[in-house]
Amino acid sequence: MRTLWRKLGRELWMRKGSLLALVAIAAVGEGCLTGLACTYLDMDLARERFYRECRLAHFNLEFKRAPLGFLEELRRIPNVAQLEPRISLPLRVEFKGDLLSGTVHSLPADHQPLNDALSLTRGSWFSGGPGQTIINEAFGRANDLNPGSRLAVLLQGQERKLTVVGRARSPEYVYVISPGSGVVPDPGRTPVLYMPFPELQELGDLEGACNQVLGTVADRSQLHNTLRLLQERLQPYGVLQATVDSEEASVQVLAGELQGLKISSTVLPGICLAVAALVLNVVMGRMVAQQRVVIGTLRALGYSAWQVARHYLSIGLCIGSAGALAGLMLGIWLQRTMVALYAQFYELPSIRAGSYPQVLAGGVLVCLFFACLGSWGGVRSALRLEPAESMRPAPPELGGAIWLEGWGWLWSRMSFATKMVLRSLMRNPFRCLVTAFGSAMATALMVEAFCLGDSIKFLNDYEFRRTSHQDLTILLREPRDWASLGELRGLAGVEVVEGQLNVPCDLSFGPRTRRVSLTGLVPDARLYLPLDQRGYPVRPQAQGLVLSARAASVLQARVGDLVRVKPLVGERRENDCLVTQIVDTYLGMGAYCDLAYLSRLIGEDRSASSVLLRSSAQHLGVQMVPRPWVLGLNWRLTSYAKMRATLDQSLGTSLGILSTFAALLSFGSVLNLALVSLSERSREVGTFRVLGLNPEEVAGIFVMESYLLNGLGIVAGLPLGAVLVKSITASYDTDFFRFPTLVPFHRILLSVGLMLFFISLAQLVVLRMVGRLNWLDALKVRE
Amino acid sequence: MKPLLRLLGASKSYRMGEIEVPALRQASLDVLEGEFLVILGQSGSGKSTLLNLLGGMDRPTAGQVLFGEQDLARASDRALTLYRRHQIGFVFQFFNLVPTLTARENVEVVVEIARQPMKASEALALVGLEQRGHHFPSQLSGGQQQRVAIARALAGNPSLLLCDEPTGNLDSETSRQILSLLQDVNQRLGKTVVMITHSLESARIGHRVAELRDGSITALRTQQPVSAEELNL
Ligand SMILES: Nc1ncnc2c1ncn2[C@@H]1O[C@H](COP(=O)(O)OP(=O)(O)O)[C@@H](O)[C@H]1O
Ligand SMILES: [Mg+2]
Repeated sequence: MRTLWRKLGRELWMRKGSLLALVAIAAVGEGCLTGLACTYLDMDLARERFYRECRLAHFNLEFKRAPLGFLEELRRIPNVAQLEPRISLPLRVEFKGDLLSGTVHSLPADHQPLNDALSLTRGSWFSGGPGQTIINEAFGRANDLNPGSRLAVLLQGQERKLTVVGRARSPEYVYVISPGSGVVPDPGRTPVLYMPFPELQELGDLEGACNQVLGTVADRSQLHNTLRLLQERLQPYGVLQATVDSEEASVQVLAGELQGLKISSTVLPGICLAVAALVLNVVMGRMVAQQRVVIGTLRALGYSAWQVARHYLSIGLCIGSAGALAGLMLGIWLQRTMVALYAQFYELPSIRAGSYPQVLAGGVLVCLFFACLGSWGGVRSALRLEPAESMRPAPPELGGAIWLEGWGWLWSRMSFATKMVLRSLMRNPFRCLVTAFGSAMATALMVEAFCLGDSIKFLNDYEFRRTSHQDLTILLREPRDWASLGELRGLAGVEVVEGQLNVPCDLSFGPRTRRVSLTGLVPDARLYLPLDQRGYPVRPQAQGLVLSARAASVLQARVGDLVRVKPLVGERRENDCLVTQIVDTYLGMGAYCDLAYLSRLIGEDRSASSVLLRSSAQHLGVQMVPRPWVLGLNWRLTSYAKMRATLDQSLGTSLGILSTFAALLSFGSVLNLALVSLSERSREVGTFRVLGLNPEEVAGIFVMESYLLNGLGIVAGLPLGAVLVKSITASYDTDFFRFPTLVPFHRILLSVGLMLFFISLAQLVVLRMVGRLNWLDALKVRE
Repeated sequence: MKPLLRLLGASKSYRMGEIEVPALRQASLDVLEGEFLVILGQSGSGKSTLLNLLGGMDRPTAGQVLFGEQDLARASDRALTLYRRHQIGFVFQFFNLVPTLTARENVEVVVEIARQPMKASEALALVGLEQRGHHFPSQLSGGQQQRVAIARALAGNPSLLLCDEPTGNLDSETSRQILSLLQDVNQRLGKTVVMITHSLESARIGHRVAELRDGSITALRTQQPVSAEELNL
């Protein structure tokens, strides 16, 4: 069979251009499969390992203050495995003239906590002296803070100088979203500090007490029940927050990301390999048809049907293997790139591009399987061809063109080229479907590539540009009376001052309760206005409650329902509140009401927990330093620009990859199918050339066919792309934000334009082939 | 001479939708060992059908094709494949060389699967093309291509050479050379040759001529073969 291999080699070489394009599609499919699957494994393993080794707490309860002695009682609650006190306090870090709001958590002075242990990256544990702190790795890295660095903080109204002793990662803060930083973490402005428990007790006026417990349960399936019990017991101590691990922002976002990765790692390869298999099917079918006589001759010479079939199967397998091999390399590269990208956003200690031979082997097998699938049609017809039969010319394929030809008046008015195109379409419905399918898939990927980025950017814009119009947000340590904030208005350059009140509240409706952050807005709010999906500002009525769609669906509440609102701070006056509006907002699980109304619920007159400023003042930051009630500042446009740059960079990478893949997909499938169509009609081409048509005129016939089919494909691909965008964005849905499914018109235009460009590129190759076709030979060939 | 292959009342008809088209009607014919048998008939008379039955390419709808004890009409696909591989050499009107293989490789296609093959170079030398082994079919003239095909047919050391209008696509001078080569193969190598032709003149080189008309063998005569060089094509 050595000689047949030589034949195979030469025949593949002759078609190297178009087959390379086909190999590229398969390689992209397999590369995505192995690359994304390996990335998934890397991330999943790193996550699993981190959570396990550092013992991510199963639950987390925050309250005002509970005596440590009471914890013994809590530990006796059935199913509670471990329970540990912690103190968490808001803190302000003054860094290079900027005020950063952050959190400080307590740690046992001389050992790791039972849960949410740290993974030290630099430095060491506390050594006993006062004012020592361990800082979170991302914050330290972004600001070049190392063991020995000094940090000025404001804790419980007191200024302190802390010395950094170590840098560490925590399973609690794998992904840090902070208020004001939007979708993307801004680690440099999000300090998380750790200090010894006794020191924080002292600073926080919590001698013999704590304000948080973390712990684990024995039976996870009972986690929610146990948490409810704990919450009931702690009720007298003012529970502010009760969270299970899966509700933690960091955990949710990471899980969402992995979910999205999982979808991509099946959908993308699925699409590419399916297209590759279908195109291969057409190419192989054509090859076998073309080699009908060769097959017959081989059979006559004493080759068995299986030997011949095996020969054609190996052609498919060669293409598959080349794709698999290239795919492996692409996959490894993709994995490296993706893992590096993720490492920028996710603080996992051991994100590393690992090698997973079983995944790679699986990818190769899948690729070969699709190659076999694609070759099967051709191989089967080679198997079925009777030797005597194969020596006779193939029976002409009579297709459905006949019914069209029946419409004499129409048929006679068509140009011969149109007739040819129509005939060929009718006679090769399968190939036409494959052509349309290929470009539909490529279009869908193209749309996904562009629109996914748009969705993320939209959300970023939505938060920073459309709902917010302030220059500066001042975060307050705790809600303050509005009157005391009036002084801000007097500062030079300040134009507009607007208060906002965020209060954690339990909303209950019927048997369902959900903790949300309720935002109180002033009636004439100008600087921050939540918008519904159509862009209309949400203005809560004096007594009404505006629910986000997500919160409404959790509560199963509708407009007109009375929802019980129970604030978790201040006087905690419960009140039944009428749902006046449900808005489909992108920013998670929010709810809005009137600021004065919310203030009354917590026992204040009119208070605010943050202040928005419109101001042209230069040194506002410095002026805020002496005000201890200021927890931190957020400069909207600076944050926006930073987020935008981060997004552009990271999205640029991943979406660039995606659109390149889409381009390869469209070019590869269009080129192969157009060449098959050309080869099938080389005799007609020869005839036209003899009749004096020039290559352009002849190619025009094929171009017309190609544009027609691919055009249909593009049209079908647009909604498919939207579905794809929707399924991916849906996987990123969390309680904190939701990506819109955007398919803006200019992206459609861009996708269509690019698709047409790649199709035209393939047509150029066809034109060149027509020019080079030895048409006299084509006329001689007896098929 | 004893028969190598016997066709006993073999019929073949093709279904064309509703109608049966008889291509061969109850043909009986012995192919004798060592002879040069010519099958003469007009286009469509059933010559190729008959040759396909002899070559194990197809099975008759009725009747027998006996190769020794073996009835090819009832043989399995596998048995037919082996029969073609080891007993038969085919030569076709359109040469049927694999276009992407060189002359030598086209011969090797057979060498690789045969039981007692010649060397490819040896087979090419037999047809006088030892120098052209590395040429592709498209670089050879029709006559040369047919020689390669003959070399290919001979390379497997078959007992029977079946030629379907081997000169049907060649000019008269080249035809003469090819016929002469076939005659040589028959006389010097002692191979049994069955050749199809529609030309009365070409038929003169055979020991026996079977005439086929409308699927029936209408005449079978023995004649003194004429040397191919003397043919007036
Ligand atoms: N596969 C087939 N299907 C239908 N008819 C066939 C087939 N093969 C041969 N025939 C018919 O059988 C007859 C004999 O064909 P063939 O043996 O090829 O003739 P020849 O070789 O003498 O020209 C012809 O009428 C031909 O059309
Ligand atoms: Mg014939």
